[in-house]
Amino acid sequence: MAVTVTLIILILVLPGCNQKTKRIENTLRVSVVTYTHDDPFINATVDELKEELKKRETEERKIITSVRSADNDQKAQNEIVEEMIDAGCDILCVNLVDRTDPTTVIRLARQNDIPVIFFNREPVPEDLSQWNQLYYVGCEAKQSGEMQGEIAADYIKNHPEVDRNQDGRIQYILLEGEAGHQDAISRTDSSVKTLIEQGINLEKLSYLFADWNRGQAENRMNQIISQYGTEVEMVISNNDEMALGAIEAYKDAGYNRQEWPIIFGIDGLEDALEAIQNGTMQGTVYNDKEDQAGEMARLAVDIYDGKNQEVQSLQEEKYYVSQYRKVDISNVEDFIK
Amino acid sequence: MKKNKITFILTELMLIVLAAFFIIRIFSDNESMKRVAVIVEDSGDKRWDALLNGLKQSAENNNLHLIICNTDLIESMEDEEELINEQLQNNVDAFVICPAPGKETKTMLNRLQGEKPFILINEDTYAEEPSGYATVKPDNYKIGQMLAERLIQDDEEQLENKKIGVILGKAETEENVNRIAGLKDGLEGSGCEISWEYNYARGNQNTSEIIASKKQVDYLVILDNWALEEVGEAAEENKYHGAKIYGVGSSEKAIVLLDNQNIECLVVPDDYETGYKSMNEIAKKLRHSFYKMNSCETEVRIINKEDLYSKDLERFLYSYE
Amino acid sequence: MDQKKNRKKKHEKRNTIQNMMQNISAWMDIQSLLMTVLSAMTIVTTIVMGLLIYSRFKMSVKETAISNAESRIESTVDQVNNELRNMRQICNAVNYNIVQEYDISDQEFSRQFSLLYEVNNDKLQSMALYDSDGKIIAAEPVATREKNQKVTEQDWYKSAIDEIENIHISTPHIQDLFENETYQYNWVVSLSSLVDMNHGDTPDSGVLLVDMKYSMIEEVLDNLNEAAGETYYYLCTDDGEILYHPRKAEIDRGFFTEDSSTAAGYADGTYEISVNGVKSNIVVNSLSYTGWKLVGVVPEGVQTASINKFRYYIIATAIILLMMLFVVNKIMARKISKPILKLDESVKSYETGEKTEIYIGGASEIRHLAYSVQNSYKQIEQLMEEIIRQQNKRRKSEMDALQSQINPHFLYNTLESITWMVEANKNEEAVFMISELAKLLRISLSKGKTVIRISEELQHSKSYMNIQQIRYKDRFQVEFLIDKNVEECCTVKLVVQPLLENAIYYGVGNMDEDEGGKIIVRGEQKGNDIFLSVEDNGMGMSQEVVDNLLTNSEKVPKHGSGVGLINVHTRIQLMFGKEYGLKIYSEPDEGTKAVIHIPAIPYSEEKRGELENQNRKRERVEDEKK
Repeated sequence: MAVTVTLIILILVLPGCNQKTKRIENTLRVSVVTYTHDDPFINATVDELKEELKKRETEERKIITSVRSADNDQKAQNEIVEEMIDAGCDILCVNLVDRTDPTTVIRLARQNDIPVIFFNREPVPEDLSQWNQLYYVGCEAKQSGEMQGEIAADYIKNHPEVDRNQDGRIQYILLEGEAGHQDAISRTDSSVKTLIEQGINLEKLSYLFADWNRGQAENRMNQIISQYGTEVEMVISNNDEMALGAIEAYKDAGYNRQEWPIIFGIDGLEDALEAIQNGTMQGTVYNDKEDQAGEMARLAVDIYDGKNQEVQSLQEEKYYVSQYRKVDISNVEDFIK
Repeated sequence: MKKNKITFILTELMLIVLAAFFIIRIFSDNESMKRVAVIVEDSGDKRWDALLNGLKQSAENNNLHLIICNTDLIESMEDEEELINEQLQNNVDAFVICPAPGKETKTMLNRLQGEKPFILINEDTYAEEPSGYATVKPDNYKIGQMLAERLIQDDEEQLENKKIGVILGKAETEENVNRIAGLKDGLEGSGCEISWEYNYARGNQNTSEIIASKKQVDYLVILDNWALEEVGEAAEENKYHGAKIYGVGSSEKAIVLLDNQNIECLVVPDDYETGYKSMNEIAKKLRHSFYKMNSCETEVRIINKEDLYSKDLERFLYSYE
Repeated sequence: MDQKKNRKKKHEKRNTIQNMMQNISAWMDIQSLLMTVLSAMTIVTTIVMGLLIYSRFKMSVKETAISNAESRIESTVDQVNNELRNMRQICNAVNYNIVQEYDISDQEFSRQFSLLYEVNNDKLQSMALYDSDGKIIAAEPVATREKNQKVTEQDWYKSAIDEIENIHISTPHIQDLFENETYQYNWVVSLSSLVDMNHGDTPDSGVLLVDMKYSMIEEVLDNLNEAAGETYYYLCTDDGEILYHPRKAEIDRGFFTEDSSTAAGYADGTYEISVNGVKSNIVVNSLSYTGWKLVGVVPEGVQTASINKFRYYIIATAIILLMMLFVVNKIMARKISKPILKLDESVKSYETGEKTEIYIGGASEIRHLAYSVQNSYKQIEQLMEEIIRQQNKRRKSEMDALQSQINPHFLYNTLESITWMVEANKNEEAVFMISELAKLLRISLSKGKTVIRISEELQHSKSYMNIQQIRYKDRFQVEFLIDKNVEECCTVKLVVQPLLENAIYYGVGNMDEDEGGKIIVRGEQKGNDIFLSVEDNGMGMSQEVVDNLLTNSEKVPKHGSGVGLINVHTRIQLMFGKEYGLKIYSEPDEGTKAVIHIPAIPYSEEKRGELENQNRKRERVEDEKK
């Protein structure tokens, strides 16, 4: 009887002994979740991130990055995070669908002791302070608006021909991203304020929402053009895509250059940089995705290696605010790869 | 008397054991769910939506826990091996694997065979003969043939004197080898010429430029889904000098490209079915360890723009939700 | 005839079953028997109870699931109805606040149109206004391209025109009117209605198309299904066309079937149908306006984790109960059977010869049994002692009888006589005396027989008389008058001689020679009886003495040569029965007559044996009486 029992115990225990660690190398697994798969800026940032991480691979430590996206659905994103954690990862980089709702993501990460680097869409400080392994890499929308205002103001000051009707006021159209959207509000607000602070007199002809979208912006601008014609002296756009859409609209309208308004965007997309180069657009604010991607990569490696040097350099050991950079005709060359 | 006592004590012991068994079952949570890991390249890409849905649904039906491995590009057997090892340490009970390119994959899978059950999807391992493992995949050779047939059928001159450029997926994969073979065999005797072949590598941003710069052709046959997506997207600007694109694709994007007329004709394997059936086989295997898994051939449809939005196709698209 | 056969068979069956049961119970000891029966009963009861409870629980879980489904469906139907109503309201808002309000070429028209879209763009996929030729007037969101669709041939367009009072709601489908930039398809529910537009002065009618994001409804249903466990919910038209089903992809490929057309045919309520071979309960509820049905399916055997746990719980409880009951059974069985066993033990050991106390204990019946057994044993012992005593007695009396067959006095006297004769050289007389003595002794013993021929008995008597006559010097005479047929019959031995003895001592022995004392021995058969009489003409006795003779059994006459008269009487009666025996008649101075009355039984060995055995029995009874 005793013999049987002993045998049984042995048989049960033995398989456990076979768990030799077959993994000789260390591998850092970085899981990235974006809010959608067709935001070109985000996609570009993620590509940068992957490259930066690849650069930091060593003999002893491999880095594998996997990227997934939610379809503008926070619930779906939560599920994806759960799946990724389930499959095994060491660091999470999350671009939230709904910045007011990171609770599930934080809970899942915390349960599994996985640090999270939020990027581009900022959760509120109360949420970030729930755990000390939560970080944010991004930039300040307000700053982008300010910088946009500054470039615009500079340009206007240097180019009096902008005020075509010479009424001392610049008639402008506002292209906004979305009604009620944090960034849209921020950018619009600070941009206009900066212009005013810089002493520019403004007259808003109209505003419209184009859903951050080039095509929509183009169509709306068509309407605007048919309504206001050449009255429009400036177009301020919350982002480059919509600005480019406006450009298309003006191209279609067939106006000659002098009749065009000055157009400013934000983001620093390739197409926008091109447009600045050939003069169809006057300025943009570069969202330094290389900087952010680099920081994310540095952070990820730092946390994984346990060095925490990078972490300590962050604001409150949590925030990394990347600086926007002004782009206009004078320095656009620097940005084009 | 003695016998009586012994019987009594034995019965009591047996009952105690039984009772203990059931009591333990009461308190043990339902952690008896078996875990199955699926390994495909770049698992976050949207082209796998249907496949993952099929896997998820079957996993739910069979009370299995599905783990979708976080993957990037899988370029070689080593990448795949490492993923497998990681999941073995993650207490996984079975695998659903899209085999990595190269000859060594089969050897590597041989090693896995003793440890855990697995089933191959989408393609077989790269070798002269079929690997003998259970596979759930479309008939890649037939896909090439279907394309060839359709090309000949649609063309006014039955491809007489026409030029064809072929874009292939990764070299050293069964999918690639069989598709091009099927295509070539199907095109034999039709009088067309395959002007060039190009091996598409993901991550290379300039694919469309490269294609555009190649010798002009009448038809572009694209045998890889990602290639199709990338090349097809750029087809709008008439980059390819009016070449009609025929291709194989199983993502929603491919269908949209067809819809937008970037692509002429599309061969779509039913990824949902692949996922669903492969998981079913794994489930059966996990339930009865002596069960021998069966290979299945997944359905393949060939569709033109006109076929879209029949209710039939709408239903098919539902699997991408 | 058949009935009889059947009955016979039943009888046989019953008999065989009875036999079987008897065999079994014969084979098992009481304790095992009790244990088996009790255990069987316990097991059956426990199992039955367990099953009953379990099935009740299962039923109640199912009922709960069904009522859950019912309430969930109601609230979901409300939700979806609300969503649809919202959409209709938006439709109406567009229609009345914008389309009817403004001219379509008015900027305000466009503004309002886009504003309304913006405000509702979380619910709306798109909005579009078409004129009667199917040309697009306005659309939000403003997309780049419109596809080449024949708008006027589309279902939504035609239905809107056909049903002008109502807003037509389509089933969920892929939005295919506008190109999408994002390489994705959007599922929408289209609401379309005929509207009157203002186009300058000419009123025109057009069709307003509002595409609602299907995800609004889908999410509600997804949430519902996720929370529901085994129960699932699906949406279908009133024809049974499935709009939403958690396993839609499987249904489309034939991996799963759902009988939606049957369900859709039902009015709202709860029903039981068979789906996929599994019995299920379905709850049907209709959405308003569209006629769609929301169906909840509660499959049979709703196995939730709690049912499984409950099952284990019941089984474990049943097992523990069984265990306890077995122990109790065992104790009970022992308590009942122990006294019986002990009793059995006592009896066993008693049988092997040890004298043990019989165990008395247990239930009253067992005690009673034990007492009975004890008493029986006591009685047996007593009886055995009795038997021994009796056997001793008989041996003694046999010895006595044996002894008395040879009276020492008579023997001494006769031997003395012989000695005297020999001394006196009267050899011939001596020889005669010796041979007569021998004869007498031989018949006295008669090899132990009790019953002899009458002829032999008479011979004995003759020999006795011969001897006595010599001793008494022929002072009296003897005459034997015996019927011939009497001689061959049976008699008890040594019955005549005592009479003769008496006749001599109390009769003629004291008479002188010349007084002519005479003894006559007669033997006569009268019918079935034989009378042997000894008559003398002696002194005779008074009636008192006669009576005395027959009552005082212990008196052995000292100078007699045999057993007393009572003895004779007793022996005769013992052998032949109470009707026979010895009678004595006497007249003082006249004489005495002793008559032996026996039945006439011709002598044979068999008869002798019979009579002697009978005799023994009778003797025992006699002894017992004493």
